[in-house]
Amino acid sequence: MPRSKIGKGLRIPLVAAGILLLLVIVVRLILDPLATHETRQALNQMEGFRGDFERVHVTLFSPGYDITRLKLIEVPAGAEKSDVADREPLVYVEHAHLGISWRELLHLRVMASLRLVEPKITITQKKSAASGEKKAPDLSEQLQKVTALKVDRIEILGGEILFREGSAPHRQQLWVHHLELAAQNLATRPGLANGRPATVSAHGVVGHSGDLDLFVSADPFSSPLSFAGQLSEKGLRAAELYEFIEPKTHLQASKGTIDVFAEFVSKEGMLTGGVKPVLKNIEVGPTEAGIWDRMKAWLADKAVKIASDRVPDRNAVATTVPLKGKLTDPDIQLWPAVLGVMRNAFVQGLTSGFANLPPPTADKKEGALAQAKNAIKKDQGPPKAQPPKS
Amino acid sequence: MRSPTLILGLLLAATALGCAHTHTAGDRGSGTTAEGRPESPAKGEKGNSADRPAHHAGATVTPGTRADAPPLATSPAGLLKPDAVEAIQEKLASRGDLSDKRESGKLDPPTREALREFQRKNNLPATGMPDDLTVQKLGLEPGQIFRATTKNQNEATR
Repeated sequence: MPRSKIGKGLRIPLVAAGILLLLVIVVRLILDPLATHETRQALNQMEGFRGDFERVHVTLFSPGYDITRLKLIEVPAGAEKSDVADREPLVYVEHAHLGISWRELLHLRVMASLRLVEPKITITQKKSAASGEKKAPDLSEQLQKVTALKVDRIEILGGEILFREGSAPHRQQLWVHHLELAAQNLATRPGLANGRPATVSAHGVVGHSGDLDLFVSADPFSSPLSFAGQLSEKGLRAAELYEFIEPKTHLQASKGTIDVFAEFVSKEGMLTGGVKPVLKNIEVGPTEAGIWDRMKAWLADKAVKIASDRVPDRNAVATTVPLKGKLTDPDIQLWPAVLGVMRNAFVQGLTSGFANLPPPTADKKEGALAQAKNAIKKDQGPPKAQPPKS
Repeated sequence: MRSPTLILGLLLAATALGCAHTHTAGDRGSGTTAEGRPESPAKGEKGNSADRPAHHAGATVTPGTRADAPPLATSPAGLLKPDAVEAIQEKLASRGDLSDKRESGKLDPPTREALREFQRKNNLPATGMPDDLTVQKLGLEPGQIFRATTKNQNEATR
């Protein structure tokens, strides 16, 4: 074949490849500034928040969007966005990556994943006006309105959450840090979930000492929302709850630790579960020198000692608090909880774990005396939850 | 704060009932009572949560009435297929993250700690609980490990 013909045959694909390469370079060059502009626009349009970031980067191969040092600052009513630039952000994320799966795109499905590195979130509890009867959450209806999408995974690495009680004179706050979280299978259509539940698993540290684990599995397409899970917090030093205890009581728990175990199931709008607090080696003291405060502290300390199981190195005050009833209005059963403290102290000690959670439910409603009699029998197990109000 | 009042109330109630104090032995760790025995289940109850240790498999919740309703569970172990924990432990042991002696077949604290260490090394959230990406990085298929609705499991095995 003559050389000129080979040259002609190759020219077209070479030109096409050149144009494609040029296009890729141009798109690559304009994509980041474009994404930066769009992100800034979106943040400027957010009501009640001022948003800022350091850098936005878009990747084409393995499609993704990265944002670095994202800040969201709350703008109080009546203030301008420019006035709050120096305020502490409600949300700060060192680095966030949103990725889209190529493979799924080829199957005309959108599957996304989100990774947040070192996010710091402040949640301030504000008192809201009481509304009418609460409705159980119905996610399925909301999900049907959203485009068919599966968020395959949300990850948090090294996160921090600060829960704040806004209105109290002494600002009470609970700090959860070193938070590692994986949420998966968050689909917007049952068909995309492959018959598996959405799950959230997390591990973190409460305050300086509490070891926190959380697991939740949920069926977001059930109406109302069905879910099940458990939470445990172990070894939180009671002294860390100073801000919660002292303002109202002028007492402080100077020694001891607190474990909390909770297990819950919500199905068809009905909640079943239990919470087991275990207070170990607690010592109570006054924070003020007044005679009344000292007497109150002495009484509280003695009461703790008597209610404890008096096992050396443990001295635990423990009980199980049954939760039963409607998801929107659960019945927190205090009488079995009170009997549980007695049983732990005088009959049989409660373990520091998920055993007996949720507590068994009585076949039919029992009177207070019958419950008390059963609570002091060794072979009866822990006090039973009472059937929910019909 | 109501707890001192509550504890005082309890104290009075206990005194009135004249309960005898029975604890003598030390705490033998989680899963047992202060007397070293498992907490007793209520009379006539079988399979009660009382005989579950701290790392129990977790209650499996009956799926809803929808044909494709997924299984739910209160703990991560409740969503695993039989033998899935052994498969995870085997992989962890083969990588040196879990001692062979610790292959208990249960998602117990040593296994959770080994999983956490593995996740940390692989730049995954160190939750200590198995998830799809963790089992994939261990060289396992999520379909072999996690339960799904019967309908979807049948489709997967076809």
